Amino acid sequence: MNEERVKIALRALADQDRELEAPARVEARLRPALRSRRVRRGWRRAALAGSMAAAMAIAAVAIRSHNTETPKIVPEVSAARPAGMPADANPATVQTPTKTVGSGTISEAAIQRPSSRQAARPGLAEERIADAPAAPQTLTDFIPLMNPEPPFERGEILRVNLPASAMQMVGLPVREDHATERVNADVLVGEEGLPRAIRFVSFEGR
Amino acid sequence: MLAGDEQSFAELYARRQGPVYRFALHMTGSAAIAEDVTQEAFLALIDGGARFDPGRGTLASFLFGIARNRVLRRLARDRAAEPIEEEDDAVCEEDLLEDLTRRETVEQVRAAVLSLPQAYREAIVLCDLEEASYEEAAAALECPVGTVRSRLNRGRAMLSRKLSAAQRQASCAARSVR
Repeated sequence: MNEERVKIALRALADQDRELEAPARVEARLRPALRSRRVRRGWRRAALAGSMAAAMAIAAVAIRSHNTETPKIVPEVSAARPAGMPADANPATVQTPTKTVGSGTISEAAIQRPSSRQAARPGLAEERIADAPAAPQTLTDFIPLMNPEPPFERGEILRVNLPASAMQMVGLPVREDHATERVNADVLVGEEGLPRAIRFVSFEGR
Repeated sequence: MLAGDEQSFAELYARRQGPVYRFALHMTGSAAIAEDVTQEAFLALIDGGARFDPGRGTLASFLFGIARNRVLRRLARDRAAEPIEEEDDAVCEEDLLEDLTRRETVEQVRAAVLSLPQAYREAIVLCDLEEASYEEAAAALECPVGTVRSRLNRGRAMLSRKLSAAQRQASCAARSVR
């Protein structure tokens, strides 16, 4: 049999199978995956918007502090919500940047799940604190907002003010009578601008 | 589609699922595996479609490439498609063209394709059965176009021998019945 006849034989096979398709159930199983991707993408956009707003807030605070030479200014800057926050948590109010986490890592004590890189460099776990207010009593440890967590090099901690219902988004129980209250939180923002973790500090006015 | 638009996905899926499914079917001979591979390929497209670079190949070759990786993984795991020994080069030039209209002959071709070593089988399936261009096949198989051509030639030569042997056996069987 020469090559031409082989081609004819293959064409016969291709013709016979031309109508073969994957069963309809394959597409039905794929659609939920597509929807969940859309949801994940929405969260990512919200995270990015929140991060950009937070970065702008930092810049605004820095510029205002520099120009007026009056530390302890508490600007009221409307900001988009950080990642992991519910839609109804908007608008969050960025009160002030509290800490700059410098040269490498965050204190292991501050984060529930430090990366192996952090663990390998405990000597760099010191935090530079700029304009830090008196340390408030924290309600929670830092709760990671990204899963899986990318390696952390350096970042900023932002103090934000959110509805207490935001705590429910990260799996914390909130009593009914607290749901409408505002809560202060520290958001750890990586140098790439993405919020990495959040800890809830205190209810407003307490 | 990457934004999660279901209508776009439905259109893309309708256009592309058939070739992906048939590629996996001809590579493995298993409808169940072909179904799984098709699902996995489109899941990978949903999750990692941002990696698709039109400058490196068509969407068809991107999908074939994903499907191929899944197929190879399944074949390695299942060991379901061991190539059979190549027959000798005896050639029987009886008129096969007439027989090609018969379903059993097409099934012989299918079996012969399945028995090819994987590297030749995927070239034959992509270029001869799914009518992918050499460039698309090269992108999917992650090899140069020249390699695709040589695998095709070699694969067709192997098929020629296998089909001739099958034809000869069928003729002998028919004679012994008479």
